[in-house]
Amino acid sequence: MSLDPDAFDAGLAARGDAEAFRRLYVRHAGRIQTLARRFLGPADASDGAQEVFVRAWTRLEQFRGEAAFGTWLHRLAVNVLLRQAERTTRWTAGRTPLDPELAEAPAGHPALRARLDRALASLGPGLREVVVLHDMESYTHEDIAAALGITVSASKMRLHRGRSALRAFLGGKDR
Amino acid sequence: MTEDTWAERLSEYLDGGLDADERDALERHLAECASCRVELDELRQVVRWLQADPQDAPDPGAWPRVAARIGALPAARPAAARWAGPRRLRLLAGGALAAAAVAVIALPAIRDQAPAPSVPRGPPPAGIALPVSAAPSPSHARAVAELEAVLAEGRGRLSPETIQRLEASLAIVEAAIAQAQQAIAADTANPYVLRHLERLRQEKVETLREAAMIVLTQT
Repeated sequence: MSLDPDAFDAGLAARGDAEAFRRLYVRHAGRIQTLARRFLGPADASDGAQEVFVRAWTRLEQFRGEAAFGTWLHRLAVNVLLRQAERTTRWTAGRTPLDPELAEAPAGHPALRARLDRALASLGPGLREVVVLHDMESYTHEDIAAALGITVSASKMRLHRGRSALRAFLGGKDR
Repeated sequence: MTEDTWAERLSEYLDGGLDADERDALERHLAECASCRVELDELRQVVRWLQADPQDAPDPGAWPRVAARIGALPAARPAAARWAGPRRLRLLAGGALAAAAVAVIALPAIRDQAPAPSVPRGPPPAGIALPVSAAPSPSHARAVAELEAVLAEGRGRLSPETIQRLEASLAIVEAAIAQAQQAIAADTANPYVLRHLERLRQEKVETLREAAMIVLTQT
């Protein structure tokens, strides 16, 4: 038996141990909350993350331990959030040039992050998911193709279009 | 190849996805095309921003909402109420020990107050199964086996004092369980003893679980 705390708690939680599930939540909520923000935008991120954990609770019996619990949860979260993202109204704010000072801001600067959130939310159907999964969640094109039910070529094409749209939204030129 | 066609390949170039011939050809184009060089730099900046996006802190108010929702699913988790409750490290505080010790002292009196037994007292003869409600459930047996495996593997990380307390706690709980089983064998219809046996089994699981958590936190 593995001494991995996640696997241990997942086993207990699958038998109904809510305290074990709370420990899993504490260890993984930040990552899932972040993924939800990237897919849904900051306003809907908490609700999205909450939905992921509720869904995980009902499906814990399906966790067999073949992959790490965090990997299993992340896959589940992508599926849940993809469906939610389809129902989320995209922000339609017009593009405005990126403040030159902001363009020089260090990565992770709060204002830059807020701008990035808006840029992501402005992406067209199918583009945001590919950009988030590839550039922010380190999925390969093969993983994305499997998750979205598209071809690897389509994934590459959407990634380029998504990046180009972000570049335009964030102040670069549109081709 | 047109300029637009070259530009369509810039993301793949950034990601190292072009083969050697394509890469060389694109780099020759970049050397001559200022527009594509600017676009490449801006795409690179976008990717850098995306990859540096920091992880959020969880919403502090979110867990109570999740807890309320999973608590509203009793059909999906009938055992939740029995398992829930962070009685952490009670093992070391001696709580389980005290509870089980009371059970050992009290059970003979309970058994003696029961109606005259229809079968002789003592453990059930070999080959005779306990009544269904007196036998541990498969999920209970599985939980005990898994927790015991964790403890066996991590025993070396526990202090001698902790091991001594754990073994003393388990010995008392198991003695109480054995006495309860004897009482049930003598009076299979006694609901109090059946409930008491269930509580004792739960005590054993809780004791093992808390000890296992100590092992895991010392990993």
